[in-house]
Amino acid sequence: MTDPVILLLVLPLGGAAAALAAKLPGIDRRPALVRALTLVTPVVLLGGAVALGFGYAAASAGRVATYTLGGWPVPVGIGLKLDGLAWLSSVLVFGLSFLISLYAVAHREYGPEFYFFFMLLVAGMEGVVLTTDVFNMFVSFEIIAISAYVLIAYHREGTALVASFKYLVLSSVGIFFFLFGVFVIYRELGTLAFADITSLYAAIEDPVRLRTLRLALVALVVGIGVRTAFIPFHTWLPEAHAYAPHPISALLSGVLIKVSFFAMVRIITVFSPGMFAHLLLWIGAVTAIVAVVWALSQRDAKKLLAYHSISQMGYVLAALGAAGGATAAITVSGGPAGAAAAADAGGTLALSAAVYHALNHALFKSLLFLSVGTAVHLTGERNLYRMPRLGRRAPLLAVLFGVGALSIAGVPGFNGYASKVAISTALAGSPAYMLLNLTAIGTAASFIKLSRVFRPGARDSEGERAPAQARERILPPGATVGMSLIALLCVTVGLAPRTALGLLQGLLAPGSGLATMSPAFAPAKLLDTAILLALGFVVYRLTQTEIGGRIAHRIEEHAPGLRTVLLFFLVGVVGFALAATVA
Amino acid sequence: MSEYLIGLIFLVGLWGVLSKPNIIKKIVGLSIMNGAIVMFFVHHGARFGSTAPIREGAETGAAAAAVMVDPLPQALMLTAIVVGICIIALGLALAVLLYRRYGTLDIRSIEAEAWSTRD
Amino acid sequence: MRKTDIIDVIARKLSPYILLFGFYLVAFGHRTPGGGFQGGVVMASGIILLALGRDPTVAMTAFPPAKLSIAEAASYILLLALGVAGVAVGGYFLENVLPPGFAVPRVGFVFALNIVIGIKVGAGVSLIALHLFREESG
Repeated sequence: MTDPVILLLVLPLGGAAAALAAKLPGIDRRPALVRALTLVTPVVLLGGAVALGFGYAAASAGRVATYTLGGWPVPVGIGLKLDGLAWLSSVLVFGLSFLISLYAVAHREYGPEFYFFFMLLVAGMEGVVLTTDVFNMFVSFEIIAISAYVLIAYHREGTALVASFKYLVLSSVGIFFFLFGVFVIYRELGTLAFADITSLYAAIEDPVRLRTLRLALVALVVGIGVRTAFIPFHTWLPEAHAYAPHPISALLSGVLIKVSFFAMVRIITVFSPGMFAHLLLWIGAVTAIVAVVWALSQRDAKKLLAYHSISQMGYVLAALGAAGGATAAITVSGGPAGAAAAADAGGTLALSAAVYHALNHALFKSLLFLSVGTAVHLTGERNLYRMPRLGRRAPLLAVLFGVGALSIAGVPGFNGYASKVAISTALAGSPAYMLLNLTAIGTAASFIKLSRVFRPGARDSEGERAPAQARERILPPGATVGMSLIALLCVTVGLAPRTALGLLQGLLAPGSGLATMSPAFAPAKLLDTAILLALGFVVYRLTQTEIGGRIAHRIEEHAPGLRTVLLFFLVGVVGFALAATVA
Repeated sequence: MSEYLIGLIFLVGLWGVLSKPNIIKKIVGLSIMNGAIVMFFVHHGARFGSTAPIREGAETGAAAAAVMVDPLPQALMLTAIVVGICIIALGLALAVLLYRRYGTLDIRSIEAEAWSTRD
Repeated sequence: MRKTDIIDVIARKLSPYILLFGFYLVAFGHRTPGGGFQGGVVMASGIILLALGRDPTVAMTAFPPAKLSIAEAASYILLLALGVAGVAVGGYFLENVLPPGFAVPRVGFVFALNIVIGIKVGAGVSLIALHLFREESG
């Protein structure tokens, strides 16, 4: 008996078909019908999320749901697999896309094409999550990429076009490296299925073949690395995420980079769990601190958020690096590797912390992008120093932004704090953790800076800009519901941090001895956090001084061109290749 | 030997993407890279035989496998070509839009103008 | 640059045969090299040859983009329906729905998939090209 895993792919594809049907003649001239067909998008996404909810019991019990397309068995046919990690990612994909699509639908400024590509993007992400072989991962990644390019350039503004083109060139080069890696795997092992790769790779004795395959893994990791956007592959992200339509910014920053991150975890685990652990730890820490410096220097509100996405993914990556070989727990249940992984309680905690922070970041970053996006939409201004203050005019928006900002800054009681405590427990004693602490200061500072938009100002309500949109409702009901639900999730997780972590561990490493993090609200932790936040305020004041402003301006001007971007990419390729041959 | 030559083609494509400022040439570079990958697979697939992998009923498993190409790389590459075409077509569409917006195909001047008018 | 009559005549005479060959590839994809995608691309290349060798407007009157996009959307929906049909009869996604011993041989399912994919790809690729030509001439 098989499981209805295919539903997770057919649902979004069917939603895409509904959006496409809105373009058929006879339908396209009837606005009510077109509107109804676009409403299929959130309904379908909600359906997927609910269906996943029914699968929770099986997933948490460690049961792996499988499916094969057309009934052909796996080495010949295309297989799908829904294990704990895939379940978590699918919930993220469907749940958050649903809430974001509520926002998009409520704003009524997107046509059926938008929803077609939106659903295609969701289908591609589900493909990456569920696939059981390397080649279908490539195909799904390309489905994601194609829809993402179109969606970023949806409004056809000049900057968005350039951003989309940059993303296209860089990620295509990356994906061709990925495909080259696929070729090397096929040439050496004669198979592309994850399970076969794992067993064949483990049996290799010959050092030359081993090195070849490690280089193939480098090619795969580099290809996915471009999508996950850690240094040195991050350069496309700020522009692509900043100039995309607001719901798409939220979707890309909130969901897409997590999906590619989970794909990277899976790929590394398929070969040898713990590979690149040390490299990833340091890349993560450096990514976090460098990106936060850039974020702090931005005046463009959405670009600031985009740089923070890179920075927060640095946290996640560092925690993954600390997890080392414990990632085996995800795919190997039972067997010596699984037993070793289960025994490694610290590693399991680090792995859970990485996934925990990735999920939390998905929540608060999409909330932030939606609220800042609404502010940009209302004021028609992206520069946060020129935006009129919205605090009095849009109190609800300010509250929603506040929840996101407090979460990302790591204030106790919000979900960002919860996962940061988990990461600090996992990384305790590592020198890389110092860098993450510095990052926390920068994060607090830049959100104090961004919050000026939402503070109640003296002359904010009427006046400054021509109120062309003043009578428009600030947040349509659908958008309010979507954003409030995200905010509610942020607070809920923040108030019950250990319960949430326990649930995660149960899914990621079922049956392993649960490692628990240190109490989240211990006085020492709270004191540390208070110090970091206070330092953040000091840093914020410093950036507002003249010298600070000048330095910030310098950094902001330092945006790499496409050529530099590609050179960065090649440096990254060489770096990973060196790490693989030395290891 | 031929694999190294195909690798050279891949590098030619990479060089094109890297060094040519013209966005159409960059897209051509991407296309060359894609083509090189396809050649890698197809070349590897032809290591046994070179006839089309379609059974007409006469020959059986092992005898057929000796003269036929490995069908899997062909199936994979068909998909990869489709994906490649989509990327190239989308890239060209973006190039058209960029050209109409900025009046040039030079990525350096496009970027300079795009970021100067961002505020 | 002036276009000579040679190109005009050859494009006009050749493109119907290219379309026919594309259709042959689609129709016999289940037993000879070819199939939906390859045939579709060949069909599209016939249309593109017409647009390049004669004039984009000629190709657009023969194959109006509006109708092509209907064909594309409809074939996408049909393809999805064919895929789901497998699930509907209690099997897998994209599973062959024709029972053995039925009036239509089982290979008919592959044939149907090829036709739908051929229309989808042919319409899609020619649409992309025609849009690009339109930008150029307009």
